[in-house]
Amino acid sequence: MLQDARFRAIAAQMLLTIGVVAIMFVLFTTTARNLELRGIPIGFGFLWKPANFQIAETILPYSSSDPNWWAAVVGLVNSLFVSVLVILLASMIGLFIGIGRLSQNPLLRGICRVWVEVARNTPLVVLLIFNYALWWEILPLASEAWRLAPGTHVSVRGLSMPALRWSESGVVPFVFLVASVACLIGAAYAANWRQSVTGRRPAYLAVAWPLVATGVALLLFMHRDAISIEMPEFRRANFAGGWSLTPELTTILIGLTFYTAGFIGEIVRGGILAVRKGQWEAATASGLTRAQTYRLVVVPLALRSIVPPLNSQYINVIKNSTLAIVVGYQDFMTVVSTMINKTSHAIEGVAMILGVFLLVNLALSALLNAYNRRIAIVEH
Amino acid sequence: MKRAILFAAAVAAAALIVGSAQAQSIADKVRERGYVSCGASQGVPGLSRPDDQGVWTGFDVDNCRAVAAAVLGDSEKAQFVPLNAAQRLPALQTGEIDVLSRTTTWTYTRDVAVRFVAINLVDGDAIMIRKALEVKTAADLDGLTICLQGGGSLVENALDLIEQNNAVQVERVYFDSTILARDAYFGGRCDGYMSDGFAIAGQRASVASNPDEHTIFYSGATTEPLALAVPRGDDRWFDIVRYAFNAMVWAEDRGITSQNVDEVAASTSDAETRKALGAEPGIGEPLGLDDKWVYNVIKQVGNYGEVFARNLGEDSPLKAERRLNALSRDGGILFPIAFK
Repeated sequence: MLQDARFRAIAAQMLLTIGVVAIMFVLFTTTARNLELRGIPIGFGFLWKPANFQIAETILPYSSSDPNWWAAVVGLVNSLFVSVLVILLASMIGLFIGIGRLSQNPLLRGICRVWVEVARNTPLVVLLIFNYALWWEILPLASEAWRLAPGTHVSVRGLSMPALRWSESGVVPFVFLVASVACLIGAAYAANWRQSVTGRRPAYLAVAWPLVATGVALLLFMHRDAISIEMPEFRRANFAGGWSLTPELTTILIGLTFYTAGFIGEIVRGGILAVRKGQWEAATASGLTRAQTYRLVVVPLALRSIVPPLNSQYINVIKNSTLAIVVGYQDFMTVVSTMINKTSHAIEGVAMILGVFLLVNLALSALLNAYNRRIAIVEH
Repeated sequence: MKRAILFAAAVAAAALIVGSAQAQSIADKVRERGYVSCGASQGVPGLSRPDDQGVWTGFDVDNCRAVAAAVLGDSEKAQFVPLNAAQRLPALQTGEIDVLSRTTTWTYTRDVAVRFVAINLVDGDAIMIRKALEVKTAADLDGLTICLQGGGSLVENALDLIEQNNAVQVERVYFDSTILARDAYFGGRCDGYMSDGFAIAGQRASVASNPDEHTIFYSGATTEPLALAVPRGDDRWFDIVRYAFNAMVWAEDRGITSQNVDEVAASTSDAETRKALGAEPGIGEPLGLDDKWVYNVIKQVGNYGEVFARNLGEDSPLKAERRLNALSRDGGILFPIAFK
């Protein structure tokens, strides 16, 4: 039987699997026993107890009496909010940097080159702290804030703006607004589909626009008492009320975008250089302008070599977002670390951090891989 | 075979050494070695920090120098081992240091691992605030922004307590280090910067461009008893450290300072003072020390008030108030134990 290659292969696989499972088993049981011996409780029961700590800045509503699991969700949304914004911003800026690096204009080319070199050769932590400390040098104290517009002020405390507030009955027009936008998008898709089937584009949108606009205007007018504008007010040392953008969130957004855009710029440049010269010449020969050449020929072709490395840059953004606490913005990792400190459930907490980052990054990879398959060259 | 015999001999020798070491007090080891080994911080102004000549100074340092003066008759015969928070208890348990005098909070869990001797300093949370805001009570904190280290620190809990107890709301900006929180405060991001009391006083003294612009608000929400510690299982050493510290408190209570101790020893008619300062024999014998040990502590290190003033109080850049670190008759927590 040992001569049978098939049998040997299966046996080796099975032995390896058994070995791995055995090692895992020993690890788990030893850990559990040692923790028990030291009187350290293990389990996720703590997630349902009140968190008893504050989070300074949150996207979702949160108070310290909320349970730990909600605190973790709030932290995760803080992280994802930053990551998504940075990915969008850095992609747009990175595209322009990549194109700018290949520009004929020496000034533009130089600026883009400096950006890339500074971003790539500076540790991110240094970049973030430098950016954060810059606010104290540039911006005035809260008591001497710059007034940009009525109720809109900028100071070292951040940007403070009037906020739109909806009372409960105001929810109706809000829901209608969202539904209307969905209708418009649906109409556009339907029009596209009809066009692809019949070759003629129906005027769905031309009808939908005015209808939806009148409807929204009417509803807003009917519910005008439910909608109010809250003006920030300067009290003692701070602006209170209204909507505000803190220096912490701004710093992590700007710093991480600046850093990532440098890397994406280089990926884009590489992708564009990988487009064969013949394609450029063919586009020029067809009478396309330079902008049209980029939009219609070069970028779609370059995307094929850009998307796979871009994937790892996006994953880096999510991982790098854990540095946000350096500039005072609390992310998922900080929230769970605080939880570990408070509850002593270190193993569970670290497992949560690992599991959640793994899940988020795998989901992002799957998404980008699916996109990559769609744009890849299909050979018949 | 030969190797086995050698090994057995080595084990026996080791057992003998360990056996005799257990019988010996740390005091004897210190005398043999010629110096006391003290646990110190990695550099906190006013508490324990080497100066520009490499000489360790600070309140915690002087507490350990008092032990050296008592045992060896010379406060200079102390060496300092810089330790971080995680290293300090193991260093004491393994015998690397003889005395731990390094802002260590006395807790139940720690006290069953080492032996806390005496509370030598009480600290609590404090907020540095710009004077212009005129914060007099906790109620005045309402609506202000406070920079502090997050991550479940004791100070963070204190701020939650202040909010609950006074029905106020403050805005927080959390950082992962107290230094970044401090810089953000000085940069104008926050109205207040919160940390431990003596750390705050040290930062105001050493970092603020104009210390007079800032005031320190003590909420009293948390109180930290910081204590001297020794290893377990050595009563003699425990006694020596306890009474070396007591000598400083006792001296302040009796109005004896490093300046007037000679004069008092020569002129006093009080029997307890005469005995304590070695004018009459007998004070050293119960601890196996010489009769001049209390005198040496006071003469070389000073009384508690002098040590506090020199390192943390009015004679130091920190200018911290005594608050709870005063004699019981002044409303503090220091009880002098009589040398009777």
